[in-house]
Amino acid sequence: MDQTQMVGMAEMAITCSAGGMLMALGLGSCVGVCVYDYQKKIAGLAHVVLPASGGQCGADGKYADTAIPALVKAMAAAGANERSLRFAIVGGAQLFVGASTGARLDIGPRNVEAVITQLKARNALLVAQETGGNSGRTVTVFGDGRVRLRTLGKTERDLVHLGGTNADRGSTGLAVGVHIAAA
Amino acid sequence: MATMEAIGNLNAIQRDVIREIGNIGAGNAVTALATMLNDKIEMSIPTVGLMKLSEFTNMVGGPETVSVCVYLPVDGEAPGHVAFFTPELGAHTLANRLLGRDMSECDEFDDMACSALMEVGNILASSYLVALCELTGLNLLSSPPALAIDYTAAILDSLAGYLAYTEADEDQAITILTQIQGCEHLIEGMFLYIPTAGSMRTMLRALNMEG
Repeated sequence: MDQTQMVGMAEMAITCSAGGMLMALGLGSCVGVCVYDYQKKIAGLAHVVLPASGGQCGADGKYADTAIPALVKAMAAAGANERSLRFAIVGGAQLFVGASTGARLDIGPRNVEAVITQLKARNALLVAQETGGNSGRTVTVFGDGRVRLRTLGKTERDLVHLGGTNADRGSTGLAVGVHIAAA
Repeated sequence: MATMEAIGNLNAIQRDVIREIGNIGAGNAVTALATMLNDKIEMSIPTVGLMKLSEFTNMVGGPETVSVCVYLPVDGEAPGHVAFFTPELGAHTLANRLLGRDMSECDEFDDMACSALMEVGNILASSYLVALCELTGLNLLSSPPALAIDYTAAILDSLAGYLAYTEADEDQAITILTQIQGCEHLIEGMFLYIPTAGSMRTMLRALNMEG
């Protein structure tokens, strides 16, 4: 039986099983970076907490600038080919509203920006993104490449199918942030 | 990473002192809330714990339950974070009581309800910090409150983000947690105080408990 693997803050996980499930529960300002090798059928998920490590050591999954390279490396170690990776990103919201909001509490949007910068730098294919706003999200990446999204007060839905044949064309009709085809 | 070990290495007496800091702070906060509501509010003995970031979302209730949270950053000589969590229903009860509304009004949080809840958080946090200032002689300042209504896990996820941001080299945080309840369990909540590792030492030093 395949089990749901929970990916906590600063953690990352990979599954090579078609029935596998990786879940990041309640993403607030954190960003869930979903990745899928559509040829080798390997799925990964990283739960990024902060934009930049600034040279600090810590869990690889904690910072955008260490999590993306570490996730790609872990995918490769599991047999994936970087050229056939497709990404989707979820989270980076700003849940708290009030007088203290502003530079201090806008970690969410800065996380999203940092993750996108990292993906761009690798010429990675970002197929779908559901980021920003004021609501928390729960994301599940399935072993077949499906990315499922749950938001408070809304019906659970599929964000994108990273294993689908049309995924690289952004045919889901959802927001496609960065869309750089691998050369 | 030395500071992390320092937190883990708190001796039994220091841990008791920190628990007592939480006890005095929460006692003052609960008294303020009871006065505001003109009702009896009970509190638990605070628990002092060392929480890993990855475990953070498991701290309060079920991860996909809905909570209302008022968060205030603490500045001054011993910076940190203060947060008050209450389940959706408890928050409605609190807001309705304070606004003199019909207790069955539980549909949504309008501007008035949000404002009332922020004020509750503000008063709780301020009373908590005032007690700590008096106890330690340190100057602690609370910032204006911010409010979130969402999945409990998502709120904790964001809080951990702020935490990690202020102390980027820490993968864990010392948490002082007090449960409160009143009005026959209609009002319940959790008060969370998270001093930075440095602030913890500053406070222990102020109380001559370091070393």
